[in-house]
Amino acid sequence: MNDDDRLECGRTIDSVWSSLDAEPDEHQRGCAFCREARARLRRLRDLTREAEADDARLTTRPGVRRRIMDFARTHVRRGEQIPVQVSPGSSVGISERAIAAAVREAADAHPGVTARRCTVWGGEPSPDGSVPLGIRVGLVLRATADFGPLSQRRLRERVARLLTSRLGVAVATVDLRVEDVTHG
Amino acid sequence: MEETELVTLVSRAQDGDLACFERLVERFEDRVFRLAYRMVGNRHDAEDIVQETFVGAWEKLEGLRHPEAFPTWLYRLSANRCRDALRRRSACAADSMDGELMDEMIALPAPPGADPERRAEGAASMDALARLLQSLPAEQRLCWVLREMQGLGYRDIAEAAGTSETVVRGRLARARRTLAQGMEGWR
Repeated sequence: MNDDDRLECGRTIDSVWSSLDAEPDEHQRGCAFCREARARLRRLRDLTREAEADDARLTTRPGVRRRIMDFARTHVRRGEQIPVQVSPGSSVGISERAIAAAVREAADAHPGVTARRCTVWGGEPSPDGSVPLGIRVGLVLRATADFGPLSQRRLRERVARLLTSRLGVAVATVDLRVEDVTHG
Repeated sequence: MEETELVTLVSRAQDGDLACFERLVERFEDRVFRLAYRMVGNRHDAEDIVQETFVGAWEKLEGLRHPEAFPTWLYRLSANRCRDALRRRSACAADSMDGELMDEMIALPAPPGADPERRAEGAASMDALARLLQSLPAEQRLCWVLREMQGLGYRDIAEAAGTSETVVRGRLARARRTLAQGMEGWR
């Protein structure tokens, strides 16, 4: 075979490879180079399929996943700190991550809804120093879900309620963004 | 995995959802392992690569702007880890691989349940492919394994390998030629 991709007859190895399943064409039938290439590439393909079948049984030992998850668990980025209470000389903040986790929990509990990403921002502090939060959350809806105005309002209330009871924060806005629909 | 589900898992993992990250590990771990195994030739190093890949994925996940690109992005991370492992190995080794060490490293288990003769033949032909793969330059091996064993399209291979489709096609052509030449005597 030549140094480049071509057989001596001018045909490319790639063209032989991609036509292995087809009957040899007129040129290939009469060409010793093509016949040889077909035989070799057929064998290569068979070996590859056997290797693939063998590899399908390959899996890592349990320790690998454990170590990966141990790392992830101990390296959670806290993200932004959102001030939720400000008073002269002090402030209280909660990580955006913690708030997002609570938002996901509330949204996931709503029929037909799954949460995706969540962003949080603080508004103008109230006279008592509490900072009302704005929440934006991406959602995936099940195709059969009822997500009319009443359902949306209930979801907003659910999110606000959980954040207040769990984290003690006031929620001013819950912005819902439907990103996708699933049929499963 | 349906793309909608994939984007949901990646998005939530980007926000710190460990359970979703673990599901991503579950779904993609084997793929990464099999790629690594065919690249480096032994289980032990391949497992290290799996670990390094997913640890890196967790660290860099927020930088992934298009969650739907997660699979290709993950392949790219693991290709980089494979390259690192191969470079470390060649930095340690003498001029060429010790034949015995090579055998140890690429020995593959015979398929269970097959009859002894078939298993012997199977084991021999498995070694042949593994040996031939190890004889390819790493960049050709990567393109070939991604294409012929992982079933990736040219564009995704180019992304994973950090190069252009044209270069990928060239590497595949050279790999096919070398591997076909290695099919001596298999008639």
